[in-house]
Amino acid sequence: MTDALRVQNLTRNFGALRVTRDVGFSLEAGARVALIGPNGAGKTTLVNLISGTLAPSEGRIFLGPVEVTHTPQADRVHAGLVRTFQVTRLFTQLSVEDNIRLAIIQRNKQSFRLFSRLTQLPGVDAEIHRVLSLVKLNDVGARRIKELAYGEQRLVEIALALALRPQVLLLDEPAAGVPQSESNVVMEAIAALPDDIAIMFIEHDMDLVFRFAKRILVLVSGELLMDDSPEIVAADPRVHRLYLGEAA
Amino acid sequence: MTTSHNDSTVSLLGAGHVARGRIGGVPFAPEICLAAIGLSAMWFMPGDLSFLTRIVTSALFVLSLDLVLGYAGIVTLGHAALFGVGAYAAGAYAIHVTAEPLSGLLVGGLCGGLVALATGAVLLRTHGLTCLMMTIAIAQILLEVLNKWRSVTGGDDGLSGIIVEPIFGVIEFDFFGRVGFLYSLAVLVLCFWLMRRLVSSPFGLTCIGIREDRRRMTALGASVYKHSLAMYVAGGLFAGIAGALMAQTTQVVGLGSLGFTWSAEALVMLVLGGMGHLWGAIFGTILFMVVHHFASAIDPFKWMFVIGALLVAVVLLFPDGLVQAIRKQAVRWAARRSNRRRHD
Amino acid sequence: MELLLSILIDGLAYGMILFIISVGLSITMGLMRVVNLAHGVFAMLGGFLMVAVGSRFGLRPEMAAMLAVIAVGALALPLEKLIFRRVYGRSELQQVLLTIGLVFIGIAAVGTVFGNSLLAIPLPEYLKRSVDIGFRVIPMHRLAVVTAGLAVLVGLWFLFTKTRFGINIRASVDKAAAAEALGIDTSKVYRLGFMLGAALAALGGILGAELLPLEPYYPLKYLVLVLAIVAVGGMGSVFGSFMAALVLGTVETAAKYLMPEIASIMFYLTMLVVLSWRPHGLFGRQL
Repeated sequence: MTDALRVQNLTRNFGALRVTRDVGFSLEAGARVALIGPNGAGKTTLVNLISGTLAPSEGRIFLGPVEVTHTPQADRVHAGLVRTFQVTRLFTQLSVEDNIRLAIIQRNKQSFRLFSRLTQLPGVDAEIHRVLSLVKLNDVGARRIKELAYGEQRLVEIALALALRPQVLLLDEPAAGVPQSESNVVMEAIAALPDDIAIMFIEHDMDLVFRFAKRILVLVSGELLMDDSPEIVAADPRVHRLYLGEAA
Repeated sequence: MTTSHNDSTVSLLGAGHVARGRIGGVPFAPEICLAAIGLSAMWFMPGDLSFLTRIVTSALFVLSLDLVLGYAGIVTLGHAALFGVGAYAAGAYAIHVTAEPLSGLLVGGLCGGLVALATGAVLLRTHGLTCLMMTIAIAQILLEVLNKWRSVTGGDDGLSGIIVEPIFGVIEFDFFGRVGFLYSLAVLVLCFWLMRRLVSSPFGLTCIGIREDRRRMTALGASVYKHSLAMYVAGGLFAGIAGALMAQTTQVVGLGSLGFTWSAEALVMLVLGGMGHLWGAIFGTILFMVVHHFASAIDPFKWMFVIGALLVAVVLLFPDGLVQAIRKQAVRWAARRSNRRRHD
Repeated sequence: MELLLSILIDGLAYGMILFIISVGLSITMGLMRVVNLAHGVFAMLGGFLMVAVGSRFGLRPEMAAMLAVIAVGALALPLEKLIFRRVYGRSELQQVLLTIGLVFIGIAAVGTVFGNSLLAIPLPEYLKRSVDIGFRVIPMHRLAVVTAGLAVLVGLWFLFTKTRFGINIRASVDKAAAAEALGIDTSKVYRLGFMLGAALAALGGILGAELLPLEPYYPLKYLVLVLAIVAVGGMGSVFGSFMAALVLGTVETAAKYLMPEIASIMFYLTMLVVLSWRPHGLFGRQL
């Protein structure tokens, strides 16, 4: 069975600065992998490389059996590789529903329908409701993004990703910036994510990491230090040194 | 799902990012409004029909710029080139092929669209200042090319003596300009409807998304390049129709129709009214041309001063344009009224 | 052969003028990241102020020119503080609109005061002579322009590499946030850079009055020219402006001699080709 995502020898240089060094790993369908590491380790850069925002200097990326190393980002999305952003990037002037609608339109390849009315697209409204129920945001559908609490906005980020029906989902700090009181909502949304999707999430919140991850990747200075189960990673002295002073 | 009072005020002005365009459930309400404005203008100023017609053709041009700038987010100072190409195409068509007006409009639109496709394909691979520079360069090149192509365009002297046959073979253009004005108004209303459908379609929503945040849209799977190009071509098409309309109603075409000044003036008109609402283009055009009419008669330099000062004021004080400023105020009043009603 | 040399000399002179006028814009655009379409107004003001001040006080042309250049530089200060500062970081469109507005105001002001006709700049006697170099007679003025252009290039090179101010500018162009962290007062740097750019434009306007005639619509007429130099050379690069000005100036001059029909098309085509190949200009950096 081919892995959902496979990354080989991924390297990225900025001049003399090596931001990502020879990273390799794979995600199977249904994977729940956490990517952790100190600030500046290059975690978001890695996500940028895999999702296609950034081109690698060396290395290869495979989505299932297909190599996507040189495929443009938009095409990778259609192939099932979706990412979310660490800082919410939503369309603040539009309603929650319109944000999801945008995603669904792209997914269904309806973005070149020039004269259809938005309300006339078959199945889209039902799909919007389905996605919003997954993150329990059905009652705020008509509200504009800028009227929502930040925690709710993070949920919309996840909902957008779900609307694209991903096979591989890269979550960049899904709980970042969410106050303690709201973070459990985000956690529940992540727990409710479909079982067959392969998920890799960057996180600093160790609670989340140990609650959801079946495997942990530790990235330090662009290099993969460890790729192991949570128990082994938690017990490793090097990891302890890295996180000295941080809540474990 | 409740619709607040805010929403109905928003849709009253046909504005908002997704123009749903129904007032109290009446279909084509914005188009009817537009036609009503035009007809009442004709009623009140029957002796100024050529001026009113110029406003109409300009409004169509500025609307086409709104598609490109307000909806696709492409900053261009060369949009007049597409207008001019459409004007010359329709003019040459009328002189050398047939003076039937409706097909002339299509010819103008088609030429505008094709030139937009060819130039946009190159242009839209760039962003920001480089893109802006290229729009200027391309417009200048087109202007020079048309200038040298004397046999078709008449070069420096321009194209004159454009005849227009009766519409549908029956409705003759009268000397007073009544038919000309109504013809232009009809074309404007029809195009406005088409544009409104376009911007509230899945394509329109996607373009708005691209305008707001290209990275986000790419992460949703949208090809920024393809959508921008499509909207640019749409803009070129309508600009070409506007140019053709101008050629037919004024019966002359000059090189100024492609010029940088015309591109800049359209930009000013659009910004005064506010981009991304379609209605902003209409109001901005009316405002600008009316002030121009009165001010430039006095002194062309005083006119430039007024426009310059207006621009500086709009940027520093009303960055979203005057229509938005008015709209925000209207929304505030509506909210205040509904609050008062609730407390009664 | 004679034709080739003629093209080179005229192209060189033309290019130098373009360089002197445009380099200030390249610096300020690289520095403050503001699209300033009103840069031509400074060039125009240089010429007009020189004539106004010179005739009012009966000054020699050199004196009047120097005062005009300084005056324009000084004028740039309140302009930056009161207006330009407000649009740093705003969208390109907003900056385009603001600066177009300033262009219109500038044109209106000059047109109202001086009327709508071409302005003649008085030349000092020694520049009115010509030099005979065998096959062709070159006006002294052309030589003076070329010398001035080279002097500006060398002067700026010295300024940027050998003085503290110059280094501060380069740091601010490169990474403003880091520069501030190092204690560089970037607002002051922007202000002085802007004034320098304006003064250089004024100088260019005065020296180039023969090739680019002064009139109220000057900033609009030559707007595209100046922007082209900056875009092709790369924002923030003095050497880039120099190369771009020479290349574009020579191409257009050559076209005027050889294929006058399509001279301006050649200019814009060259610009398009360069920008398609290198969107950030010949020497520009990814911003």
